[in-house]
Amino acid sequence: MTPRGDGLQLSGLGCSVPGQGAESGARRWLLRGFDLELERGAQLVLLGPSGSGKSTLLSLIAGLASPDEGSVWLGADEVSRWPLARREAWRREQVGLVFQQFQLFGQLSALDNVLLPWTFDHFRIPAEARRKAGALLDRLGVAAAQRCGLLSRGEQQRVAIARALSRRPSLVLADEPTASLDPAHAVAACSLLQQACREQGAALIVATHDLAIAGRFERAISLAGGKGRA
Amino acid sequence: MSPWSLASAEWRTQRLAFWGVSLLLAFALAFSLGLNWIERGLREAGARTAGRFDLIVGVAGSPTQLVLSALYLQPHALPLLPRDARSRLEADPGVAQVIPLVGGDAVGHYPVVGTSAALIQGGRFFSVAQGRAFSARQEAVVGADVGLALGAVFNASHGAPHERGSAFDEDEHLSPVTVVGRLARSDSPWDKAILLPVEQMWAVHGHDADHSGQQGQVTMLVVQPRSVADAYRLRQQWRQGGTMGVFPAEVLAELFDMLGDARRLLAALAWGSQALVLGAGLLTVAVLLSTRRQSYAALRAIGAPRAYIFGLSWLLAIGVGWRACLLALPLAWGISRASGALLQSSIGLPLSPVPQAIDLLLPAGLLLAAGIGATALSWRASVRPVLEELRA
Repeated sequence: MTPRGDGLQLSGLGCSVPGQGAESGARRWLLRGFDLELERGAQLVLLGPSGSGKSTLLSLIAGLASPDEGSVWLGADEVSRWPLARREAWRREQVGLVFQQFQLFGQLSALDNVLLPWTFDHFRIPAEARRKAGALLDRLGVAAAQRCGLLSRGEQQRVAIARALSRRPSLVLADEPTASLDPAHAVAACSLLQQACREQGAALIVATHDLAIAGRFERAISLAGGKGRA
Repeated sequence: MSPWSLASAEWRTQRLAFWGVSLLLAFALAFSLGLNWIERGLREAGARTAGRFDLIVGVAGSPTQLVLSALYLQPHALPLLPRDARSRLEADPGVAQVIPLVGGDAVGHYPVVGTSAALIQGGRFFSVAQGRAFSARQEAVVGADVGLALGAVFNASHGAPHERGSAFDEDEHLSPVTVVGRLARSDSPWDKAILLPVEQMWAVHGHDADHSGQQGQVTMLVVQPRSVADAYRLRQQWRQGGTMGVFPAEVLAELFDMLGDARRLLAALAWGSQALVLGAGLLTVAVLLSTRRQSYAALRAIGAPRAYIFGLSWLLAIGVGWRACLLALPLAWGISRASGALLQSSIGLPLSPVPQAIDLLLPAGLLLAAGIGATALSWRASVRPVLEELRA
């Protein structure tokens, strides 16, 4: 397949695990033959029940796992063929990740959590990055100096979003980002994420099984049995 | 790249666990180091004391007991030498000097030794730092640590040091004795000894000149041979006829060899316990790190390079090892000082810990082990599938 444009392109993507029980010896496909094109700054929701392959798809896009079939392209670069270190650097600089359980460091302050990705390749965090992170948290209504372990779930979610955006990524991947929030906070968090991505020009892919969240996106793909349907 | 802020936050929030493990490791390390230091101190102190007397002659029996009585003034009940032993030795052309020793008595907690003034004159054995040597039966010279001032008067008594009270005037049978001199410090049990003329000791035991029989008998004779050949000849010669001649250095060497075997056993036990505690420490660090599996996976997911994960694990593990080493050194010093004091009060031999540069190998080994453990754990953390770890 020839990549087009500078957006994200998935081509015949497949990922399997060794089969168990009656399937022993064969491969069980978590995702197979998945195609997708996503322009820069576009937003997409992946819908599907648990086990439908949403998280697997996000991890393949982020380079956290390698596909058994197909490829992931970013513009003219085949991300899925990059070596580990390059994929790490790509995630660090170009991809923002939001997890269902937030994966924040409770012992660090909100600001330190947001700045954490900067510490991976900087001995000294740029003053500008620190200022912007503080401003972002301020805008999200979170006290920068507060320890994350002491924040409410809603506040933690906002810190997680701020961390994903702190290095101005071109792609944000969110895996069930609102699953642990009540409906009102869930919608607010999703709205915040969408707005922040729009402002930064970042593409956004959100995996969810929540139809209320899915309804906020213009484009949706349903996943079932490892296959996608627009 | 700087995992420092994350590591220091971990130390802060898990401080109890980190300090607990560090303290356990520190104690294991300290016991091992302290054992080495005090054993070295014991050897040095033993060698210092053993060099004082060349040859000791006593009644055939335990050479160790004889040497411990002469050098460490241990209150063993030693039999008396034949009454002509001293005169026979004095008549030997290979002997430069013969000095009698009679022990087993005490004034308070200070052992009393009956001897001749030759022991404290000339500086060959001991020297007087204050006052003068005794020259009459009612005079005494005291060791550097004896709590009697020059001119003090006391009554000598009959009995072992630990059987008596602390009073200096308990024995009503004796005439008063005056302190006329104080010995220079010898860093030996003799610093706590009271030296009397041997004639005074005979009087204490009721063997005055008027009594026949045991006058002139002693338990030990310190012999100063004229040459090395004389020393070996005399030792051989006095190993017959119910007597024995011993070289204190030789006996102590055998004793320390025997103690060395015990020390090696103790050292092996110390190493074993240290290995166990080290294993427990590493296991605790492994458990601490494994509770952070999700966090490590999250770090990898948001782009932390492997070096960052390695650095973080290293900081956590080395942090524990480093604290253990820093705590272990003063602990080891305290342990060896305390055991030295305990031994000193028991055998009267002043003992100081003797650390050496080679001892640093032990803490260095601990740090190395912590580093290896951290490397293994961080390697494992960096190869596990991120998605699986995030869901763990």
